[in-house]
Amino acid sequence: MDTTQLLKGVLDLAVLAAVNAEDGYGYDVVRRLRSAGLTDVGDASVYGTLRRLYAGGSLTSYVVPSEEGPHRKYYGITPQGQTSLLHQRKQWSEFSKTLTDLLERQASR
Amino acid sequence: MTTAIAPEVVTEYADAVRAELADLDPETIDELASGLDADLGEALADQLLGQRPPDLDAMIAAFGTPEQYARELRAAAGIAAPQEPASAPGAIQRSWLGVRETVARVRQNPQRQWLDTLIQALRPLWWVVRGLAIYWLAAAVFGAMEPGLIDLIAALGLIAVSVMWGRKQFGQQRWARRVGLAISAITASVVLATIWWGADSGVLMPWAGPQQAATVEYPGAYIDAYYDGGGAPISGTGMPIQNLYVYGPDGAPVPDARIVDGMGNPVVLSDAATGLPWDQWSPELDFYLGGDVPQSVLTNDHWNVYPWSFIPESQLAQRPDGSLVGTGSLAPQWPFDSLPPLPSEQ
Repeated sequence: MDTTQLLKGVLDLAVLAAVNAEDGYGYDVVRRLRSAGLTDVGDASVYGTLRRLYAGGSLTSYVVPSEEGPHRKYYGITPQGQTSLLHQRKQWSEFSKTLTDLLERQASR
Repeated sequence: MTTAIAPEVVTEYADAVRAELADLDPETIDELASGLDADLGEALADQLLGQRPPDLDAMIAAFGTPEQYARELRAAAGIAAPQEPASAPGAIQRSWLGVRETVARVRQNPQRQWLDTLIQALRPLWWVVRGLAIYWLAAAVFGAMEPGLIDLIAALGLIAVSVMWGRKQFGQQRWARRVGLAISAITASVVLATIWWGADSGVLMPWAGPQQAATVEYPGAYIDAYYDGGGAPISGTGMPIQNLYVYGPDGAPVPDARIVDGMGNPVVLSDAATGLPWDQWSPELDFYLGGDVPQSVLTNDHWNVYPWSFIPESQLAQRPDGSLVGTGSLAPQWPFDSLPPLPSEQ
């Protein structure tokens, strides 16, 4: 199955969850998602999602100066983002339970 | 945390991505791409750990073309793709990057590593050929004479510069590499063209270039013909010359006049059908049978004695030893019985 298509529907949720755990900059979030098992996630998709969530008010951002290289733009979750995360997490739980039940029913026939 | 790297190639790639977003307002571009260099550098460091220093091909193999990257960035950020058709330079750059992406993906394929190895092995040979080709071009432009010591030094010097350039011993910056790439492309085209056309063009071998207009041994005679050292000489009317007729200063025909060029070489006309000088003609070469051939093909001498007599090719026969016999010689048809005599100088 092409997991890229599946990822598109849940990328907001995945990014919100990753940033909720700890503030992070763009590639930092990519790396966390990949190490969590979402190996097919595209760099540009994550950066674009971060920007959209930021523009929608779910994330805040701040710049951290770096002595080694360019300054880093960190993202953190806002109260609105946390509410959104809660809501989407519930949706996902229900959706995944429904689909799992459906698949198990089909398999047991 | 991996230490971020930001080599020049990352900046080049990030700039190309930003160029793809140029239709957006500066604030949005900044939001989308402000941390791009750092993120790309770190991602690259992760992916290419322990490998050779990244080049643009490695970037494209890892992240796709800048256009694809920008499209993904826009889609995820919920920003519409640009409405305006892309500018011509942008389209050219995208096509070029598309080619590079294909090449990069082929090179990344482990089964194609031998190709990479072969290309690496052939590079020094290319540097030498490039130096030589640049010498050829320069010699053609500036007009080289007979090959001499100065030409040899110039050719060797250019080869040395080409090899040093290939080995990056000049510490080339990005702009210099681009100029070098353009020069390489031009010289590669010249080399390919040379191979394609059999290296017999006068432009590519300047010392074998145009010879002087034909002159005549007989004093006072004059021929309105141009001999270019290759192919059939043409007259002022643009038609191939099939025969030459010499008139003396008194206006009388001069049979058996010997004609040489400015270098002292015999002037031999060419067969218009094959483009080859007649002294290289053989029945096997001539695909246009039935024409007339100069009588000199029988003896293969006196090639520059004009006007020629001709033999119909149908009257030619070949002996078992390969020599030719022929009958039915056609005497030259003088265009004028005589010309007005030249005015006397005294």
